[in-house]
Amino acid sequence: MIFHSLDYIFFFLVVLLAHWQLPRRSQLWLLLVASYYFYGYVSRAWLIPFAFTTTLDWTMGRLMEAKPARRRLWLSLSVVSNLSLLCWFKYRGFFIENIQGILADFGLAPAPEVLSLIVPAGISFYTFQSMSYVIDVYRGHMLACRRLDDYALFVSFFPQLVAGPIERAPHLLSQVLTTRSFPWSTATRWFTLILWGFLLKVVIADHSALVANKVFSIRDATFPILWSGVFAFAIQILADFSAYTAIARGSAGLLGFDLMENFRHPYLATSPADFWRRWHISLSTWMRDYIYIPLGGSRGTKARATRNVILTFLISGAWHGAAWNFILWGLYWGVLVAADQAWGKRWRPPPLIAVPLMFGLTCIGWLMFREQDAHYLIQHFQLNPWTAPASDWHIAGFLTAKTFLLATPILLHAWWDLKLRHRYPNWDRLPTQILLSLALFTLILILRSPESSAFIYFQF
Amino acid sequence: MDPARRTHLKHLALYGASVLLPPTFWRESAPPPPTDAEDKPERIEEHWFTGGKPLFSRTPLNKLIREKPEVVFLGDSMVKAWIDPEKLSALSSQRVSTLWQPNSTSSRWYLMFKNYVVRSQVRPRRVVFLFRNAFWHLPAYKVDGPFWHDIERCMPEMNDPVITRILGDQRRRDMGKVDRFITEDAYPIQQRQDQTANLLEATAARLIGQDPDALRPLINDRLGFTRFRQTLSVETGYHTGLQDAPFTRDPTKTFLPHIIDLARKEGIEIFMLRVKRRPNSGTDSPDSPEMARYISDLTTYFAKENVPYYDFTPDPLINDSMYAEGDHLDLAHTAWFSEHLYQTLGKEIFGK
Repeated sequence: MIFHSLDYIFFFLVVLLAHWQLPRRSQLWLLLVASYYFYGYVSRAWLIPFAFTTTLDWTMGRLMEAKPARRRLWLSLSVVSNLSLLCWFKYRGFFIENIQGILADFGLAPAPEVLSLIVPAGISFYTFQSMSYVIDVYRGHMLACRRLDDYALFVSFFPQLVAGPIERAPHLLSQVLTTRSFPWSTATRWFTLILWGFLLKVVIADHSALVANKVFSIRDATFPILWSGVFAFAIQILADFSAYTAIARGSAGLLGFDLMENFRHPYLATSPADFWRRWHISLSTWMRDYIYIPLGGSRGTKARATRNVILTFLISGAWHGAAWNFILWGLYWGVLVAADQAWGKRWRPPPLIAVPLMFGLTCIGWLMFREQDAHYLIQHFQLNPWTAPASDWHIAGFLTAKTFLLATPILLHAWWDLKLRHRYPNWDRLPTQILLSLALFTLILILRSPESSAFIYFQF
Repeated sequence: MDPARRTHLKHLALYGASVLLPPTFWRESAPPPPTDAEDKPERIEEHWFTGGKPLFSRTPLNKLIREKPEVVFLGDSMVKAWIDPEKLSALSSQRVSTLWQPNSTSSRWYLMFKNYVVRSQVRPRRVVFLFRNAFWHLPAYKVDGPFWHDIERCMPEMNDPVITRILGDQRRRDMGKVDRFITEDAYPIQQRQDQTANLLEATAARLIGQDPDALRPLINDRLGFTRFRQTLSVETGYHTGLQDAPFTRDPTKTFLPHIIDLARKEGIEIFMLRVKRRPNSGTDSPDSPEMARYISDLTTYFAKENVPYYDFTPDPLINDSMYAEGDHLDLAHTAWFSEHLYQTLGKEIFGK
């Protein structure tokens, strides 16, 4: 089920109303059933690997406490099983296709055609979330969850199931285990946040997608047209992903849960490391805690620290998708962050220069992320700005200006958040919330894109 | 209920009403539908809650009335990419028009024939349907969601019995009554969408010192479908989507019998013209056994119904270099094919 659909709105309202009429244990069961219904809405087959991961990791957690001497074995079983499942669904086709390609290069007959599997939506998200629980129990950071239904709700909680934020057990599972009450004082804020999410998705992301998709569909993009498309994609992916997080946080908030923030104005970052402290925070911190630090982090020699950074970002790239462009994108960020760590301390440009510079570097990354055809990617990097005709500059200017106008609410939000909010501590009173929500709702009605697409991060 | 909770509840109700209701009262301020006499839409009134269906688009109807064609070529974007009506008019000394809608399939072709060609009372002598491969045998292809909206734009009435009979449950899959009520009746403010989109584009153009009207055709040309990559062309959707649509090899379960009956009743001669897909462009290539069986069934059916059928797929003169993107010919070869068509079938189609 997708958030920006009437199906979700009705589903959520029914769950919300029923939820607050029930006692605590029944609330959890309702949320669990609702979450499985939500996830199986598109394909019931997706529930099989999902339920398997849940049951396996809960069992491994319990075994770690029951038989602590073999903790490492239970952890290995969990990690291997989870990663195998993820690889089977997500990376199997990628590996086989590449092996076939190599065989074909050597003139060997390729294997039979790869059976294409539909990758269950959000498999990377829930696998990482569930794995983090097992690792935390293994490390002794938390006790194993007693009840399977409580754990199942932690993994399946529908607002954040398909595209995060990737929650940690100590944060979300503890909320599952406590008694919650309806957030009377903050309810309108959560509704406003949901409306903000809808605006980001159906107005900003979907409109920008029209521009980006068009540019990445043509075969002879010139320098200005290409980069106007990359700019549109940069806005699209920020609006799209942060929209999901906003709707997820708003929906969870109304159900009495607090989900972590996933974005903190990432295009205002002043360095590569700063960008990852602001973009997809739940994944960045997951990578830091469960991959980068276990690899050794910044300890040891410079070469070792650099290797750890690059390896972590390579894995992050592969997490995003089974394609070479994502791996290249991960490598690119790994190199940027490693270079920043090595030389960034010597000199940092002032924010007025650092922010646009970082945005430019981010856009180069988005070009690798968006362009899945290696032939075109190489062609894009060879484009010469001086050979583009004047008419293409006009078109690119127009597309950029249109995207920029669409992105105005994001800029206003950043300005408000960073410069104004602290001056108005009582900004979230009812009249303000009403005016803000009315403005958002009206903008959604009159500006929503004629074409809507699924959330980009659903595919991961 | 304790007073604090009651206050919160009142606040919540006030919040909900204040956000959701005002836009519904802006109904009167919504701009009226276009009043251009030539393109006056017809509004269909229906029960409250189901709302009205989308306005019937009269533009194609008015085009036919204006052009009074003797021969009409009808279909999807293939018509645009393969037929040059001016060239054919010049060659045949007959008035030739095209009637095409991108992404349309047989359900809309039936409606276009019925509600535009027949309804226009222009009575062209001949109508030529251009199609590719399996399109006739996929009556339920591209009829849901936004496609259904486009289908309704071709229907002056609320329902079309043939559409209902053939598509059954396929129709309105994504456009339920509640969706329709919310998007078209509760919040008619959405009618401002076109205005707002135009304003946004005009502002963007002015920001860079350009005239929006001059920029629009430039963009349409530069980012148009003829520039699309082969693998990402609009036609890719056809290849992938075909697998999802119910396929029937029985022509009587498609829109074909209804088109043929209607044509006979109206005294319009119809022709079926199968154009050549880009060689080796798709999974449903003309060479596949499944496609061969299907075309064989189709040919038999056309012969039985005395519908002239011409197939350009074996034509060796049409080669890969003539295509722009997908199955679309480039502009030069659109004119070339029109001449080729006239030379090959001029006598049959134009009676010369």
